[in-house]
Amino acid sequence: MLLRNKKYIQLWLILIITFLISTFLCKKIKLNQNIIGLLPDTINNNSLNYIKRIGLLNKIFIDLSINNNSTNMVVALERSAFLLGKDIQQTKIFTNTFFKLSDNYQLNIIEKLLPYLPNLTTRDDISYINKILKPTYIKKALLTDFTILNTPLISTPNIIRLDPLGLSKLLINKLKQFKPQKNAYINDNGFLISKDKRHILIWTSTKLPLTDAKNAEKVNQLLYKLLKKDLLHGVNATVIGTLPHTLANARAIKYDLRHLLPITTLALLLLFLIFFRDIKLLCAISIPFLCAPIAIIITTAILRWHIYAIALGFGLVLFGIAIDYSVHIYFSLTRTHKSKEKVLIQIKKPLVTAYLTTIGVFIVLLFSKVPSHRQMALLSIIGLTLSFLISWFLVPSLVNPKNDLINHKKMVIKQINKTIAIIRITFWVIMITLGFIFWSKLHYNVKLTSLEYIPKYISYNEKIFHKVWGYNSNTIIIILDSKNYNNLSKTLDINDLIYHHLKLQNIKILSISTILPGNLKQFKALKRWDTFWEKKKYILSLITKYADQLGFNQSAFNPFFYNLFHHKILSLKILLNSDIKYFIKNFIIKTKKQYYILTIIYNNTSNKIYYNINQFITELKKHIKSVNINIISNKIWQQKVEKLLHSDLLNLSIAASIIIFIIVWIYLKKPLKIMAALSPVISSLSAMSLFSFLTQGDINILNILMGIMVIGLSVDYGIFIVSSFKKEISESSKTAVTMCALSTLIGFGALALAKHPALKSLGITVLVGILAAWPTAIWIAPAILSLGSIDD
Amino acid sequence: MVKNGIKYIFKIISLIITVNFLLITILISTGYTNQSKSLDFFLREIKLKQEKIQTLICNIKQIKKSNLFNKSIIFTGKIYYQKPNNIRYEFKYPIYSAIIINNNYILKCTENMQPWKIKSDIIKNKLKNLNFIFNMNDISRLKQNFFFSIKEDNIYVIISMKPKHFKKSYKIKSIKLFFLRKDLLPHKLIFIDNQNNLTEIILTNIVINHKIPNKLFYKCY
Repeated sequence: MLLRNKKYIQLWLILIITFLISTFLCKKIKLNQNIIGLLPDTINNNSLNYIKRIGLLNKIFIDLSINNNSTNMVVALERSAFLLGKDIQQTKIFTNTFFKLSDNYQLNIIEKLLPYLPNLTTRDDISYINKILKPTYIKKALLTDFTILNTPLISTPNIIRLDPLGLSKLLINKLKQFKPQKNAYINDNGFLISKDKRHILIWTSTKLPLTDAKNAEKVNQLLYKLLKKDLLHGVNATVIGTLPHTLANARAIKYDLRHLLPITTLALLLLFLIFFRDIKLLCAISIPFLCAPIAIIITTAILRWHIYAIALGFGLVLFGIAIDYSVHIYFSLTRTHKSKEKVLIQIKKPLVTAYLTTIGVFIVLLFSKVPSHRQMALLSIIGLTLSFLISWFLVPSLVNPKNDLINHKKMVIKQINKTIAIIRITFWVIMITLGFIFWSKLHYNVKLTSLEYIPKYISYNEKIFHKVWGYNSNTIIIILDSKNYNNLSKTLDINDLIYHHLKLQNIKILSISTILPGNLKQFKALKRWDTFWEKKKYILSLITKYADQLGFNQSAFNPFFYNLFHHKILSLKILLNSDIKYFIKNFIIKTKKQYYILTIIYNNTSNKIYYNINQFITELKKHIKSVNINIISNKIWQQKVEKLLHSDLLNLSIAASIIIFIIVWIYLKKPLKIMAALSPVISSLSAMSLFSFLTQGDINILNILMGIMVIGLSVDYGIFIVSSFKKEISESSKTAVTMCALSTLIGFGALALAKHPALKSLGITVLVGILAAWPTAIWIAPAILSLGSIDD
Repeated sequence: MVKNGIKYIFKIISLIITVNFLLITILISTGYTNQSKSLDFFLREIKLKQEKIQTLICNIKQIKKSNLFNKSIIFTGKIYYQKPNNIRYEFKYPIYSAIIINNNYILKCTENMQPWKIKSDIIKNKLKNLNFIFNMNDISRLKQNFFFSIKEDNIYVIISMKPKHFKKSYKIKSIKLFFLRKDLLPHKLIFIDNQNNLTEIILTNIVINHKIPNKLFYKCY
């Protein structure tokens, strides 16, 4: 009886075979689990890609700590740091690891860099040298050298030969700025240790992007193994950086899906078994699910197999609303005495209108600035279209009107008494008025962190980390991109320009310019140095005279005299061969193609500084084409993302609303019917604003995104009810709408119980929106329609 | 035949190797045992002697031979030692300079200059070794970083220390401590650094257990 027509059998077979092939092909899809897909494109290109390329997101900080700073525990802490650091350094996955400087690093650094002091001196340094180089100072300095050399067990002749006058103080001051944390110091064993000696900091970077959950899991496993192996008793480790965030979020989503999917499936099954118990309806509902892998294959093929996991997840959930079409076709065919062909002709118009409104919303989303929104919209459009077409052709094959006719008298939509209608409408108007009042009071929270799952332990660890290491997140980073390896010298010259500008403005900065100036600055410094010492040659004879008096031989300070007048250009290579390489690598980052030079502006609390710097950089960019200059500020970047997302989603919401209105207007024409069809939309929006205000006091990005989807979904309810009222489709549309609303509520509503804020937000938005749209469609829309005649 | 001949030769060779190996092992172990026995013996004896010392005052003469100086630089002064970790190396000639070690507090004093408190753990640890000649209790710590050997002649028992890891030795090549054979009191220290600069400190007129004013261990003058 069922599927009598050969054509239908073929169609079902094709669908099932395509489903199986697509399911098999789906395994080959490589998902991009990068959260960057959640951000607008324009931001990605300018800032985040830079942050990504220079590897800031792949940095891992390991804070090793002990509870008491007794000597034994400090030794255990240092030993653990040493073992762990060594092991991390030897693991291929990690790069640029710092755990300790070499033994005698102080002397090594000074010995290596002292010959380059002339290259680094500024005008201020020269005036300082000029000020101190009096006979009394020289005498004192040489006397100090003399007593140091005569102190038993102390042996530093090389340094004294290179620097009898203690000019290395200038070099030390330049190096001091690179001490990365204010509450820490590097102890004599070379460890970066906190002032209370209870924490040691290790940092490293991974070669794998840590914003990807799979990579994060892999890195975490390895790190955990090393920590277990290397940490001595009483030493604890805390990992700070992108890694714990990615892990926490991925794990929370996995946990939610593992726990909520069975609940949802069970609830849907119960709903079906209790209320419908109809195997054919189950077949009709299965169509969108059979279409899912086909839609994924088509979408990924269009996107050249590059799809964000988040887009795939949300997209699949969104096109799950496609069951509405098969349900409505099935209900229309099974709850009427009319012929199948007549029903299909009647249902065509409202069904197409409902399809168009939903598709309209997703077409609007295709213009979003956020790549994952676009991918999600594309997947939904393909999935919805497929489901719509297949439902249209296949659902009728399931129905034999003679056998399947169901008594639907209880569910028909009747003209409502006007008084009752007015009472219902009054309540509805009150609700939507309240909704619109609260809408204006809602704070728009576009902070991405509000959608991130941050467990308490991560917040606590970060708080402790910031307290111990004095890290400040209010930073501005200027990134110079050398474009190629040969351009480093020029890039350093531009870095010097930026440094000078910021210094003149008294802005507190960390720049490589003080320790590795460009060639231009070095030449200038050397010229200044030579001019100074030409004038001060008599000082050299004074040094010789006083040294001789103390018993030093004539060649004792030859290295010092030699370096005064023989200069070499200081290069990056020299710095990378010294112990300060670990700090230099934080400022000069070498990638496969080019160098990136970073200047960091700390403690930036006002936007004014950012705009000031930005203005200067924009001006600089006009004159310099050989180097890319970019400015990134955590705060400003966040503000920009927020602003962009805000305007993007707002524009999309407005566009979606206009499209829906136009489609509904074209279909229904009469204001009363339009109002009735749109009433579920208005209700859902009001309910969402009321709920958001009463619970969190703000709305987030996901609320708005899902809001757009709820608009597309709830307008369908309105259209079907109005069509039913117009008798274009089965008068039992209430049941169909109820069935669709309940399945959506179960499907999405379960997400309201999720641990992850993004899923929770999604679930709550849909739950509240549909909970308002569904009764409105059933009670308010007919009430509105009852105010006029059926023809109106 | 040839086969047997080769086998025979190999047997002889392996026998020679085994005998040599045994001989070497016996020689090394005997020598090692003898040396460590006498080192331990003297260290114990010196330690016993030192246990009786509460304070020590003596004159010092430091001779520095360095490639930075025209000739040997001679400093003279006094050492004040008080058990367990207080020591004052005070040079009066040719210029006044002193190193004061009071447990973890170390002060460097130089004529006409502000006292300089030493903060670096490396320098602190290095200077703390100065009291080793008066207090052998720290020997286990030093044994981690130095190889010890002993020599004796008619006048001295000489303990030589060579760093195990040259890099970690803070540029010290060797330390020699001379104790008088007759009473096992310290007499001379010789330090040689990695550039072959030599520092020789000679201790004379040793006075034991004489009261030392406490201020000498925390004030420059």
